[in-house]
Amino acid sequence: MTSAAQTSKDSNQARNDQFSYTKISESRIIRWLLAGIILVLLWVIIAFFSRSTILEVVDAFIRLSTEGDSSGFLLIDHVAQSVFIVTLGFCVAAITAIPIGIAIGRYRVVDSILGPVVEAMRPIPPIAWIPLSLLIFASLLYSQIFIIWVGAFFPILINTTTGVKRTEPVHVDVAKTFGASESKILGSVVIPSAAPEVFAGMRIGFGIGWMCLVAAEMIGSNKGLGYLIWTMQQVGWTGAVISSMLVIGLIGFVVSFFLLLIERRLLRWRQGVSV
Amino acid sequence: MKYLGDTLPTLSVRNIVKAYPNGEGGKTRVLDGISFEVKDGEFLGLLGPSGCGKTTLLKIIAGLLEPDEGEVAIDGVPVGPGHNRVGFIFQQESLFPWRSVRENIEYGLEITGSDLSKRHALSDEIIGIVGMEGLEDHLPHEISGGQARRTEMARSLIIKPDILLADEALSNLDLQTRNHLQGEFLRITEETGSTVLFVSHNVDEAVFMSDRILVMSNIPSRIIAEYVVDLPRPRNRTSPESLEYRARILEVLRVEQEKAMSRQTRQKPPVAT
Repeated sequence: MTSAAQTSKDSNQARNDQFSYTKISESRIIRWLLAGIILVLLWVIIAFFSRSTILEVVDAFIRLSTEGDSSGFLLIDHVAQSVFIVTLGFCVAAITAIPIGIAIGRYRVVDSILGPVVEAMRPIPPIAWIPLSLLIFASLLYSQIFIIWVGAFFPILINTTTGVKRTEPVHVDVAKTFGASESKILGSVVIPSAAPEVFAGMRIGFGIGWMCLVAAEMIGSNKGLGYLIWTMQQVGWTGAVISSMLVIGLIGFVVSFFLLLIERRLLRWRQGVSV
Repeated sequence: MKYLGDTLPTLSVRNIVKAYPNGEGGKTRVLDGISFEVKDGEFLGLLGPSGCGKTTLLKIIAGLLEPDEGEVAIDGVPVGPGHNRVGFIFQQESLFPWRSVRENIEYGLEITGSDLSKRHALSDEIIGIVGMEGLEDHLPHEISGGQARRTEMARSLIIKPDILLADEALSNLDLQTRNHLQGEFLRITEETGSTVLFVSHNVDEAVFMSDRILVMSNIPSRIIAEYVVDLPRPRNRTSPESLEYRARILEVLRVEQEKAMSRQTRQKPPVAT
């Protein structure tokens, strides 16, 4: 590798980068503008049909944050409740789905037994489990955790299975030539190689779990963002409904953004391998 | 600097037979009684047409596959699945993409449970030998194909294997890189005192590198010819002597190819040269 060739390649690279940078930043401004206009239009439509104004939404947000609802819970109490339960349910889902996903992906016997079970259960929407879970579990907490588990479990499981199945056979062979045991092959080859898919599954799983929780809270709960939205609708306070919706959306966005950041940081190696 | 002592074990492959299901309920015999030995410190080239079962044979030697019949012994002791006495350079790129160059090289030591300081000392040494200094912290997607091959050599050699198996190790490289790395491969295996079994389908490469060359037939494959390449090193690819070896081997392969094309009757016993 000659240094002259290297330098000219590098400067080419730099020029290209600069060129594409200005191009991207221009089109970015246009895209943001368009997105902004669409959002404003959407708001105008929503405001027209719900007969509310931005002021009303902001006012509801401030009052919910400072005075709270009729039972005295502040907005932050509802947020804490929902985030706490979704975290619990999500952790249970990850702890159960990842090992089972690895087993299905790696061992054909497990795949042939559990694969059909998974395919049979998966088409049932998680929200359809809400009534049954309320019947099964005496405690509201358990039934909500169960609903989140149902929602988050399958995306994590399916992605883990796919990731494990995609492990390059040659990498496993490399480990074997060094005399690696099955547990070392799992730890040093299969899991690192499947990690990108597992992380993506966790991100998707969290999103679905969050949706399921809001739905579950609407049906049987006395606290949480889903409950708040539901009761505000019952009392006909549109501004409060909309501001709670925005808070739910914002939390979902922030969490999945952070998961994506962690994913990118941990999986730097993947960038050169595939998208 | 010698990694391996002077009492290197010999690899002996005895009467290996392997058949695969052919999809029609029957079995296709791939390896039909392969026997040979590799002497201590020897560089043995194994040539054969594509699809003659070279990779299968190497995987059996490495303990990644079990033969239907026959036995592999290292240093006179039979070895089976799960042994870790060989280094293996695979045909396709096999570095772990999530590990840096150094972490890849140290992988075998991690598996055997060496402590960190010993790992670093050994990897520093082998990184110097293969010429990967300054690239230790790069990820595999940041290095070139030739550098990846050097890293794979280092990863295989760091555990001081009894024999290094290379499966078409330089096939996927462009011609210049390939020719350069042939020389580097020889230098590295010499410096580490390694015994090598080098599988190739490239006659030029085998003549340039090997002390001895075995030629395999089409499936069901057997060893059909053996040449001791008695040329001084460093060798000249285009010297009359090298070309003479090439011509003889190419002729054997041509005859073998014709036989394969017109194979309608039963197998004739292989012709030994």
